[in-house]
Amino acid sequence: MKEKTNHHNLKKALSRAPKHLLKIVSLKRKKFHPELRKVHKEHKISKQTLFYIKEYGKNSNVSKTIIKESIKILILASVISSLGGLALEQVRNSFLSIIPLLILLPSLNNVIGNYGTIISSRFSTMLYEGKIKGKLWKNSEVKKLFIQVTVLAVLCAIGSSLIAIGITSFSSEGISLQLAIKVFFIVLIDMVVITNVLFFVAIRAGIYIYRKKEDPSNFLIPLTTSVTDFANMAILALLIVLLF
Amino acid sequence: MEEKTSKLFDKGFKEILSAQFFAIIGGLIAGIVLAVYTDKIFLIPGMLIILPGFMAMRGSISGTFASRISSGLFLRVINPKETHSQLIKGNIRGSFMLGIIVSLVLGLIAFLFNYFIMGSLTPLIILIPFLAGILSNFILTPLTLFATIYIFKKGHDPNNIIGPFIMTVGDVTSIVSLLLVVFLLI
Repeated sequence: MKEKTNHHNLKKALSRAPKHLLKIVSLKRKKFHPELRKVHKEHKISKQTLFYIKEYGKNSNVSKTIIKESIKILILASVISSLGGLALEQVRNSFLSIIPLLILLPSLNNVIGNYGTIISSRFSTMLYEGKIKGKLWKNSEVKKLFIQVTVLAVLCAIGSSLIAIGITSFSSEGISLQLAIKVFFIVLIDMVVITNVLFFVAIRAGIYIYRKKEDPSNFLIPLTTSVTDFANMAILALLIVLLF
Repeated sequence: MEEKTSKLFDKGFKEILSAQFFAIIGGLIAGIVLAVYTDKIFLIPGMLIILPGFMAMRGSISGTFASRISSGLFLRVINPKETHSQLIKGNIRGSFMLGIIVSLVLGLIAFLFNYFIMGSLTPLIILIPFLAGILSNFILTPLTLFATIYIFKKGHDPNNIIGPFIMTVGDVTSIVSLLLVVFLLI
């Protein structure tokens, strides 16, 4: 009853409001397409599902939508990754001579890139499910994801570097204790720093893209993987210059 | 305190940890291949420029493909029993085309870097990622689709597992594809 009165009062106030204010009020209604709101009300299908159908439904050209939405970010990602590769190309000889780091290169890219994919897709799903409301740092789901990812980064850094050092020590090249310690710290610093940067990039970009009514999955994964690649190569190149 | 810890180390955490373990092992296999064939793979100048981009591109395209399929499965827009639906076919076509276009762009970027920054003319650097991209597409696209649906059917969240799985398989596939093409062309 109270709600009805409030609604009535609001309607009354709006009828007396100047035209330019009415335009601002009407902006809110455009959050979803009017047809989408209508279908949501009539058939009780969630707006998120309808949004997915809007993107990839029967009347849309799925492959064209995917290419159109992904191509720009993928090309940008390629350029960024190539820049990372260029940084490594500058220390080519030193890098190729540190066997454990060469062995670890795909693993590092993988593990760090995976965090990009995990954070991006979990955050995309949270956005679709409407779990992201209010202040981000107070959101328990986001906080939990951040702690999980950081703990995992430390565990993976320790595990992967120990395995790579172990493999190299059994090869004909062998490995000195000093080199092993340097490799261990390079991997640990690299992984923890990048994972944290990645988290903030994914979340900020995810919210921005979702608000633009696009599918965050199409943007976030290429974006985070390329940021990761570039940062990974750049930090590796920097640490190689500093430590070797 | 104990409740907080158990909440943190939940099913999702364990899923990611086991997937990351798989990623490390897969990455190390790719790394060993890389270390063994260093003299072949890095024979052409600029391969170190292509390599991270190529591996990331494969992971990005297959990762977004898997993420779209996962969202569709969770929203019940995609039926896990119907793999020939228009939505899935469109996704496959889109991912395949993206793989080809981006591989070509990567080659062009490396070619331009080589020419303008290093001063060497290497047209082969355009062809290598392009052919390797097509080759890896044929392996990774169907594998991603069936792995995502399989994981979903098993009651797990594909978002936690498929990313690391695809990245790992993608890295090994990328390096092996590049190596095969290098062996074929040189």
